Amino acid sequence: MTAAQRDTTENPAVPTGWLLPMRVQTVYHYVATRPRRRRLQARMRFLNEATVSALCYSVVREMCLAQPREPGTDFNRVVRFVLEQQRRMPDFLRPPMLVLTLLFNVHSLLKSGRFFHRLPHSRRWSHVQDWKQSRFGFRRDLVRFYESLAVFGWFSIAVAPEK
Amino acid sequence: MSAPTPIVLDAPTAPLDAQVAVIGSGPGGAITAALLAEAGRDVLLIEEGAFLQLESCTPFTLDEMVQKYRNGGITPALGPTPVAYVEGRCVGGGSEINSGLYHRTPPEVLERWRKEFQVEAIADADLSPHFEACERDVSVSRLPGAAPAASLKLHDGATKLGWKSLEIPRWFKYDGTSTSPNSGSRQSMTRTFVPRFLAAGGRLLPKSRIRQLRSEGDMWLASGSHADGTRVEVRAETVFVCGGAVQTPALLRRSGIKGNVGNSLQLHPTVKLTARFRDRVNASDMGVPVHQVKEFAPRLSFGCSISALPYLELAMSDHPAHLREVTAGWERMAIYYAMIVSGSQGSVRAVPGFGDPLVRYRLTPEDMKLLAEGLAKLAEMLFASGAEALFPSVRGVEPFRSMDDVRRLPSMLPHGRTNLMTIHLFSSCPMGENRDVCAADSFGRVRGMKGLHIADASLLCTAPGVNPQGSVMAFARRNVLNFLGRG
Repeated sequence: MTAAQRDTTENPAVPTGWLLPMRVQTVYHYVATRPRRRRLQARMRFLNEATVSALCYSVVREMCLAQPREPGTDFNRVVRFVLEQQRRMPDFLRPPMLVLTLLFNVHSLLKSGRFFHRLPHSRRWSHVQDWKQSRFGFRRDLVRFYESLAVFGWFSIAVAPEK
Repeated sequence: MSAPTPIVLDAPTAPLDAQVAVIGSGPGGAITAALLAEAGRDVLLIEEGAFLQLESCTPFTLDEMVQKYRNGGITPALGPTPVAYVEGRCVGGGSEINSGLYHRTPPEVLERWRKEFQVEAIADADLSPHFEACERDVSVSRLPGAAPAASLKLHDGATKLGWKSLEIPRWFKYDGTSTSPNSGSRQSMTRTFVPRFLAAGGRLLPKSRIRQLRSEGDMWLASGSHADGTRVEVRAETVFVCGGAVQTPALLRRSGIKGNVGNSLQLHPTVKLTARFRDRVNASDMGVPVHQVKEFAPRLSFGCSISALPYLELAMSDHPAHLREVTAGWERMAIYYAMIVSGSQGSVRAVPGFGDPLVRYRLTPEDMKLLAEGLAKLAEMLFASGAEALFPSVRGVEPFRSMDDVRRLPSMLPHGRTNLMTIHLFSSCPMGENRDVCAADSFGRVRGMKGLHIADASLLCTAPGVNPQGSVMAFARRNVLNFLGRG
């Protein structure tokens, strides 16, 4: 039995001319089924969190610490704050922000062969600087957004209470 | 007779009925609701945010931003140079998060509203009783002692240049026990009008967002949802929309009410500058700076901002090479601002499929020039008062060490590299009898919509050039008394 025969048998009401679109639909349905979609969403969420976390660590180490030191729990509290702020931002800004954040990470993969969050700190910072000094406004704005939140978060969470 | 038990509602399980529904509990909404309840009306006050006490967090901190700001404070007006703005989202609205500096509407601004927008009954004699009553109600007072050192630096610089500098009164009840600027209690809507509203038998429904209004015969049906996902439906004869200059036009437009709604948003674009002095000007208990320089008002005003360490670090992130100086020298540093009256108008639009409104604001070249002029004048004042270095919030501009550096500032601040913010938004639904530009009549009644009123900053016809809350309160009081037949 050919594929066409099989399909018409399984969907007897469907005219044969519709077979190709039906195939496309089936593939789409397969990709977009809930478990697949969930896996994709989980993967994007992981990449987003890994990017934001690595970016915050870099900003804190380069801009906030008076003396170099190993990251502690205070770093994680800042990352949590920044991720929460990302979730609080106006809903129509969240999708473009997510896309840009992932682009920031993937750009590092294309440029240096490794995701941003897998780079050593010194190379991470040069990637941040690349985007910060880019001629494209959206790249500068993305770094500025995370940098502001990380700096404000660090000095509110990790430093200000001691003052 | 004992006072009625305050009625704060949880998520409603059935549609609610009220004579009057007031949507939004900021200065406009809280006054409106309190006066209506005190007049014996059955009033339901609906607020999107939570009912939190003023002391639920330390003012001007990250906690406050998370608890009480809309979208955690991440709310930009989009344009070639975005303007970051903030709105309160809690019972009491903006009054819970601002510094409470108080101004009456300047007479020249009222005159302009009378001529261009044909607003009736806004002569001094009409408005003075409302200003006076509001000033009593929220305890508008001057400091009992000396102002914070950073505030005095600005005053000193202005005085040396012969410029007019004023101490601005605040909503603050000083307890008289000391001359410290913090000896007493800050005032806000949850301290003043919200308790009065509840004492008068009004019902408060917090954590409930109204998404749409619909007219059904002589009634209005407000529908939305509670924070826990429960559907909220309120039926009322009269509705006062008091969500502020962004949320009010967004709600009206979502409800299909679009005549002159959300087309004329105005704000006070503000640019900041961090100053470092030789002597100590900052402390963890500094209090709110109270001086403003009004020599060039209304075009330009100057003041001192909250300068806690996190804000200083944030302001200095435009100068990363100097960021580490802050931790060691923050007590010698403070943040100052130059605020302009912009010639531009922005818009507020509901975005299909999304809950948050889109705010757009395009600054004109004249605005960018005025901001540059403001920054230069601010620098001149601060150098006159002994600043040793100034760090403007403009990426790529080197710190100023002298007036020679200031003179090298471009005549127009660059789009895309200037960090602007504002806490003053208004004029998105102007009032008046000029039907070409006004969304509501002179007393806040929405045109062509029986029983629908506006009572918030969106009614103010143009940028007042001063903190707008005094104007919002006075107009809300005037309009609700007019509604009650006592105006």
